[in-house]
Amino acid sequence: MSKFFSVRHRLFSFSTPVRSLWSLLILFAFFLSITLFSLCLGEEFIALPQVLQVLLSKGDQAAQFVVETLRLPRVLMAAMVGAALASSGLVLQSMIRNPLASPDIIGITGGASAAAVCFLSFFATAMGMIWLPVFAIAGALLAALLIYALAWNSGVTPMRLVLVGIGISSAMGAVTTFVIAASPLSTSITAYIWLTGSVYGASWVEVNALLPWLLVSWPLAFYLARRVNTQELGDHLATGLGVSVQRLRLVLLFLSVIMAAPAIAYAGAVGFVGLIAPHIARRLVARSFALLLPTSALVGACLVMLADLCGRLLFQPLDIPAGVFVSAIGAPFFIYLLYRQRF
Amino acid sequence: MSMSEHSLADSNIFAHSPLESVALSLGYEKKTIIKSLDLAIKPNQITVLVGGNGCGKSTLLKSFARLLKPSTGQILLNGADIHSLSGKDVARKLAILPQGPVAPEGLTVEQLVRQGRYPHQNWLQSWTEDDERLVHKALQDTNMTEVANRSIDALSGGQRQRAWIAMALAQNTDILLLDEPTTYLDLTHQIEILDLLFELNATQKTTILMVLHDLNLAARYAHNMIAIKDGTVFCQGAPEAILDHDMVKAVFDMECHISADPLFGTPMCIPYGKGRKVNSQATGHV
Repeated sequence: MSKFFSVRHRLFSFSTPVRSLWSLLILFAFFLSITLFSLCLGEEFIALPQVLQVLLSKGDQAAQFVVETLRLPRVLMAAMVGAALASSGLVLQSMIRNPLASPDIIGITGGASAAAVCFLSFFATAMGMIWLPVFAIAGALLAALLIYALAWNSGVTPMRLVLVGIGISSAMGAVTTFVIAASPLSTSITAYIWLTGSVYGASWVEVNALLPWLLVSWPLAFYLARRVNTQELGDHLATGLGVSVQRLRLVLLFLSVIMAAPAIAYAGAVGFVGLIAPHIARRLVARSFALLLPTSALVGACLVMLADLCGRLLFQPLDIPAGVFVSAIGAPFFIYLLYRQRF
Repeated sequence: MSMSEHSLADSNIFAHSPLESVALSLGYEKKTIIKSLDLAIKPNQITVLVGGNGCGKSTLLKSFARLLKPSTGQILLNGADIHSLSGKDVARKLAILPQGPVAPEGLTVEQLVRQGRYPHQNWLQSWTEDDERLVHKALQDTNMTEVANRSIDALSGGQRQRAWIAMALAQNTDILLLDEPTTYLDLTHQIEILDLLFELNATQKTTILMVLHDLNLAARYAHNMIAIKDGTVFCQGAPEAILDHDMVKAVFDMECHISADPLFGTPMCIPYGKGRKVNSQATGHV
């Protein structure tokens, strides 16, 4: 089987399709170029050599400030948010064995949004904005727990999870809309911008707050990769291969929450990435969770970075939330991929 | 032979059964499907479960594969309670191919077959020489090497079923359970699949337990036939010993004529009913 790249050692061994590794490498190069491109572009253009100098901490002070303090954290934030939401979507789609799942569809985003909007309306002035992420994450966790509990019927089946999730999602949507409608205009506007999702004004504080979540959730996802693959063959086959399907499902739901919730907490309810990035990834690499995870993450990162770049550049001096452009970029590209596959 | 010797001999056979049920009752919620069943699967043989729709044969097969917890009683795998063993332990000894499995979109044959190695792998060792050798062998044995890189969705029904069987073979177990492996296949592919399983049993002594709907094919391939009726074993034994008019009447509630298969000599069941008669000597139903 020349199409697989295999590594065998006394301590470890693995094997993966060669073509997928190339796709992943090309995607990574694309990701790096978008990163650099995003650092160059903005209200003031900074040439690539200068950006590279700054990154090696040898640039002049003005450029240093723009790149290191303004642009880099924002670009990194966009990348992490995109990667986290995409990974969460992939985990959910694999768990539910349904390509239409994503954190925004099954109510995780909805839970975070409802909690965040309640916070903005009732607690923000008293407690300070620093508590917003805590509320959002708690809201997402609560929503997930509620979905799991309501879907429980001596174990949960994927179909029940999706249906209950969609129900919870609309209920959370109703709460969100009600609170926004009942709030003063200024709060409503803040809430509305938060709901669209934006990495505007992201600083190193947020980058450092989001990073640890990813450092926990990604290794856990990689660790579960082979189990997730067997689970996709169906409950009976997976059980027959020795996987405890019910326990795995609970862990995966939790995993998708700790991936998506912090990203939503710091960047708002950026939609669509979680749904579309795994689909694009499946068209780029072989169907193996350990390959799909980095691919989806990179696709998600690229999507949000590009969306934020558009938001920053296209309507200057206005700064449009990245969430607006995620769909605008993602949807046509996705339709193009589907269209191309027909032949 | 005295009575005590007899029971001693019986218990010896019992001890060698790789898979048996002891006072097994199965059910979903309040409905009992299998009632207090003692059944020992014979080692190194092909055993076929037959019975009408809803008689509990698939449920029984599932419980033998640890997919269903007994309400009372036990399933013993090599003498140990199957629910006291870990999932991976069981998966190294017993493989199950459920009815009508569906592969994720875009998965290739080889990727599927590789998943059969899951119970033998761990996080660090996910592709050992054994894994590679057994995946190759499974692909070869099922004649799937040439289409190894094709996506499962692109295969014909027969090839698809062989891909799933290849996955179960890669699991490299002594016991193989299959739930209606020939459903939805045309006759050519039914024979192809059953020949493959027969060959597997002949060369590797794999203990095979499967549910089949076609009585005549069951009689041809099974060393041992178990007829299930109303959640209990109606009779069991070699098909030529048990498959007769009265058994079919009792188990399937159907009149039939039994004659010998002209090619194999195994019993062949010809059901009564309506239909065209093209020979004046044909009696049709009596």
